[in-house]
Amino acid sequence: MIKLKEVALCLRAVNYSDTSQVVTLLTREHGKIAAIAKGARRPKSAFDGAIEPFAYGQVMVMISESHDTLSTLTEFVQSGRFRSLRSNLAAMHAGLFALELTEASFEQSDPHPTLFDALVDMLDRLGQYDKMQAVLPVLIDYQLTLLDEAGVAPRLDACTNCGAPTGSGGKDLYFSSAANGLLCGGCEQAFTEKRRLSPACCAMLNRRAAFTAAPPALLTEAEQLLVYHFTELMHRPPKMAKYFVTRANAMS
Amino acid sequence: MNPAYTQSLNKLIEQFGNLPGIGPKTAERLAFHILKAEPQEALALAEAIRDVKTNIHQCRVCFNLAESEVCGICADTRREHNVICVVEQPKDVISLEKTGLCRWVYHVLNGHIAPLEGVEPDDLTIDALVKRIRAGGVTEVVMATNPNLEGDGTSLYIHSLLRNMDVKVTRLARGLPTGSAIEFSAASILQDAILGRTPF
Ligand SMILES: [Zn+2]
Ligand SMILES: [Zn+2]
Repeated sequence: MIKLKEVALCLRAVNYSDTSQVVTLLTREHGKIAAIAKGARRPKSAFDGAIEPFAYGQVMVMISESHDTLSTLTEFVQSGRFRSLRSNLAAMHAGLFALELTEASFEQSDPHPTLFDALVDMLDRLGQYDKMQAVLPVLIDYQLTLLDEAGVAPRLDACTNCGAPTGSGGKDLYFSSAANGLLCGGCEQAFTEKRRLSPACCAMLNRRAAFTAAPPALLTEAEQLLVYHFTELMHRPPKMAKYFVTRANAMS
Repeated sequence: MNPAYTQSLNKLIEQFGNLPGIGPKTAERLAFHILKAEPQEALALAEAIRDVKTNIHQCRVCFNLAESEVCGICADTRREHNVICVVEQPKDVISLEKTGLCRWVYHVLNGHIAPLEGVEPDDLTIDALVKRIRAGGVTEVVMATNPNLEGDGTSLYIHSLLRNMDVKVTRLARGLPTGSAIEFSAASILQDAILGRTPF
């Protein structure tokens, strides 16, 4: 057993018994950890009450050295940092979407401190907004960071097949998850798995600093593309996706 | 399955064992109690179980448990039918009624929205709630979903549907439990108490 004291964010929590929970935590230095929190559902516990997604604070975990046993959470000092996510629906949904994708993208004990910081920052920013329009740029920005940190950043500045620049001409472009990036007009016919992308949306995706000022239609198109891409990567649609784009949109 | 027992006895033990909080030993003890009991006493239990399953259904108006088309609360004309308290399950109605403070009527959602578990708004009785309010005569909707992430999300969703309707939406207060101490309170509870403070 290794004793670990760290800052953590709860990605997921399931009730394990009348009194216990199994929680998936993201820690900055040790990555994802699944741990049992015994007695967490009792009114008085060492976890400041039941642990829910977005719970954030100092944790103490006894890390199990064998892969088939759960680690044990012995303490969680919850700071209440992301409380404002509980009072607006669009932000709560975007936050849950970020947690779901983060959990699906990494194995346990694979630390990504930059991603941890990006996620915490994203949740802080979400807490300040309540309109879907304001929430989307924050979500899209995080989804691109997540792909980057997972080592699968798609190529968006040129054709991923031949390297031809795709910025000019104003013609529709294509995106392929299997090719992991854009396809130019000359290459797209060779790929069956692909999705149309407008040049304007492509230009926006290459200028992340400009997301917050982007028109809603382009942000929606970008989110549809990302949902399509994550669906291909995960071999199923993410559960939170339908709160952002309808499934038909994501697949078209 | 104990081969020393008859088939019927084993079946009864198995049924008791399926109940929450009942282990194999207790199941056996209960089954033997029934076996030894007077026929009248044992059959009264069987009848009570059958009645619960055949007589109790959902209230047509509020989806609370009812033995007639409309539950006792909805049928009570002395209650304040202009105030609807929204709860997740019938058990919550019972808890709230025990306080003796409630004069309002209820709406039971039959659960909460849980996007990650695939429970969506359509799986609950939200449509019926909106129809009740649209029908008029309702001045206040009190959100009494559980104060956890799913409960809060469910209330937010319902609130978003009611935003353009002429009805006041409130929710139960949260914060420091009576008899507790500030020193030992979690940050989230203190935040609720600070932000939700009320005039003295
Ligand atoms: Zn090409
Ligand atoms: Zn009723």
